[in-house]
Amino acid sequence: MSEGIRTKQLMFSVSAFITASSILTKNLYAFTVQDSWMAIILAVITSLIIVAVYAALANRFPGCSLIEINDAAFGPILGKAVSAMYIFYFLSLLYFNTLDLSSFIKEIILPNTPVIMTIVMFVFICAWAVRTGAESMTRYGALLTFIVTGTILLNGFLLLKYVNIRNFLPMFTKPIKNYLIGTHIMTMLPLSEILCFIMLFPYMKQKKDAGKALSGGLLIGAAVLFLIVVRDISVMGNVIQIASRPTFMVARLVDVGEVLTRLEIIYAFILIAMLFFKVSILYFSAVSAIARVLKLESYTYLIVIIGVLTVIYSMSIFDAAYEHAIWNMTAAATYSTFFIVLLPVVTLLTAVIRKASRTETSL
Amino acid sequence: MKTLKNACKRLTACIVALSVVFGLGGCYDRRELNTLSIVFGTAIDKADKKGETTITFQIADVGGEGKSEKGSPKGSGQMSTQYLNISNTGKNANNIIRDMDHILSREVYIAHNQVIVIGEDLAREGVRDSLDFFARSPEGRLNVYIFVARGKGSDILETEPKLEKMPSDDLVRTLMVQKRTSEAPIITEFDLIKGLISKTTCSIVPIVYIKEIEDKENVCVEGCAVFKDGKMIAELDKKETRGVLWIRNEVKNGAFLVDVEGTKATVEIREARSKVKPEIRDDGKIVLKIQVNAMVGLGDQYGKFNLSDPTNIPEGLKMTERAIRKEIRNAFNKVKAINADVIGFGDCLRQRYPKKWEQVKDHWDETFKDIEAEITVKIKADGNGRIDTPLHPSQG
Repeated sequence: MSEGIRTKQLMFSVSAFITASSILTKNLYAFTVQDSWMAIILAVITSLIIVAVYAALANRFPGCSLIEINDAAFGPILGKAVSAMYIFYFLSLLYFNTLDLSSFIKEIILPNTPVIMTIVMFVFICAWAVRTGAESMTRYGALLTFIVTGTILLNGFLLLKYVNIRNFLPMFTKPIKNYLIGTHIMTMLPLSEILCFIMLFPYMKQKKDAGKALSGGLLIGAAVLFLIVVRDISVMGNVIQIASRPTFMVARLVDVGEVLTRLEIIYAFILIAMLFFKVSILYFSAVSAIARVLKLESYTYLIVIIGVLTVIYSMSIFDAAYEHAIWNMTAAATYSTFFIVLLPVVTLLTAVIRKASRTETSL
Repeated sequence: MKTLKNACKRLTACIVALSVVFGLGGCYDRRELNTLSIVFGTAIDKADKKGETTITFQIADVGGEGKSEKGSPKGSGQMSTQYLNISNTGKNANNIIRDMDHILSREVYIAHNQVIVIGEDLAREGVRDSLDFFARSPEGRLNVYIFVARGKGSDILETEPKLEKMPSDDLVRTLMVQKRTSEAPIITEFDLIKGLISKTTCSIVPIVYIKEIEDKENVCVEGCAVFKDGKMIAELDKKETRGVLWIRNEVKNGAFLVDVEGTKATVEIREARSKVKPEIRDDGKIVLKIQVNAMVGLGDQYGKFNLSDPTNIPEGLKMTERAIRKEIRNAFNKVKAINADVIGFGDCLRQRYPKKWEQVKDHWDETFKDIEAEITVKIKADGNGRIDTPLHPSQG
């Protein structure tokens, strides 16, 4: 239990976290229809730069979580203010992702069930996972990553009869603005939300390898996302633009010899599992951050409080589903940029200028 | 005290676990099989009133719990698949289907829908709006086969099948069987949607009609309807359809009648592949290069001239080549005459030559009329069956 998270565990947890966002591919396809694979590659390059910032922070403050880093870099009072901003961000991510899951289930699987039932069940299970601690949560990251990759490859293999390489053409014909927006969305939404893993650094066995775990996980997760995007584009071509959940629509097309049909339910299972993993990690980050800021001994009773807040807020953030879609496509990336890029860069610069450095033992 | 605390803890854990299990069962959204009317076929027709459509659902009693036909053994494990066609008329597809709930004892469930038959009147008016519900509904699937009916679609669903259990089954299986002739395309809703959202490509949809053979009605699938801008503009007959399918690389099997030196032979297509490449000549003219590679075999021959003889084979192949080329050329001319880009040429141009595409896309109709085709057909002989010479007395 107190062994510490191994580097490989964290790496695969990061990749599982990133793959959970395959549900959000619609935002990317809307802008760079058939060139989305390019946006992913560009986004990976940008994310690697951002992750380098996180790695630099982790190296300067080995074994510290985000809160301690802020305290060390900015001083006690300003550091708390910055930490409060991070807490707000983690909580908002938590709400958005829970909302993603509940709207997915409501639309596709259980349309008549009151959505609060789904959210309560889901949050309950995530809370349970958080209660068992950081180390046990990251244990099944590798399993999930392999399951997802296997499912995607299998689905892709079964869809070979629809694959048409010409769907990727014409290349490079969209206005530059679209590529930039697509890359921005892709960088912020799935790839760089791994900021919350910094809250897990104090639990690592080898604190020096934190940066390596992040970048390795980023590459693996991005590779899986790339596979998904390539498969979607090659199968659907232009039809991606009109689908509201392109990846799911592609999974529905599987029909091999009239025996292997209706396999999209496998994809739905996997997606729920991935979202559970993602929300657990975000939940843990939020709860751990609040506990550290308030200097509480343990975060256990915060779990229920945050859980209840999640249930309430995820139902009331948006009035309508289309607001959620508009938010995802327009403002979400910019909102995330502040917390993911701006704040860590400012933190790093401040730390370098003030020559701050600190080592902290776990918890 | 400690054991009481332990017991309380365990009890709470049990209660919580049980409530989670019950909650996750999804009982609220349960759908029992005997509360669903499972739709196997759909027909969409134009109604008499302006702006209204009639939707006919072919519902089968799969659970075997409904009324059974006289004489059909119940409880012997045999599923009674009697079917029922329910129609309703109204303005929007979703509205019409919702309205059916007044007369149905079971909820409509379209996830097992196999065919959508569109009546000719509605096809000529436009299908985009009617198909919106089927593409949008979370229950609907895109693997549905689409047909255009000559006359009313609901009549096709009423035709009593000879070998199959339901007319929808009959339709789907006939479509699959006629794949051996390649004289009608096999189109799913996915293919049709791809055509509908493309700016230039026209879709083709197989035609189904009722053929009277010896006073009995039979469903017949052949030829295709051409859709431009969501509306049906023309019909192509068997041979023209096959020509178009050659260009679309969808011919895998088929048979030709070829006349060589007085002997009429049926040449079977065993394998076929075609490649289409656009080429822009220096004078700006767009040329379509169609290359067909096929493996053919001798099916049968009426006459003495031995087409299996290796010295005679080249002649037979030459005639086959000529026949295929003629078929493709006829189809291409017809397609140009009705000005419908069923071969996906616009998309091809957009993908390969985007600059030229930008120039011509606004007046695509005129550009399409000027396109020329260069057709090359390469044939290889595959085999001639079990006999080497025709059933005539040999010389000597």
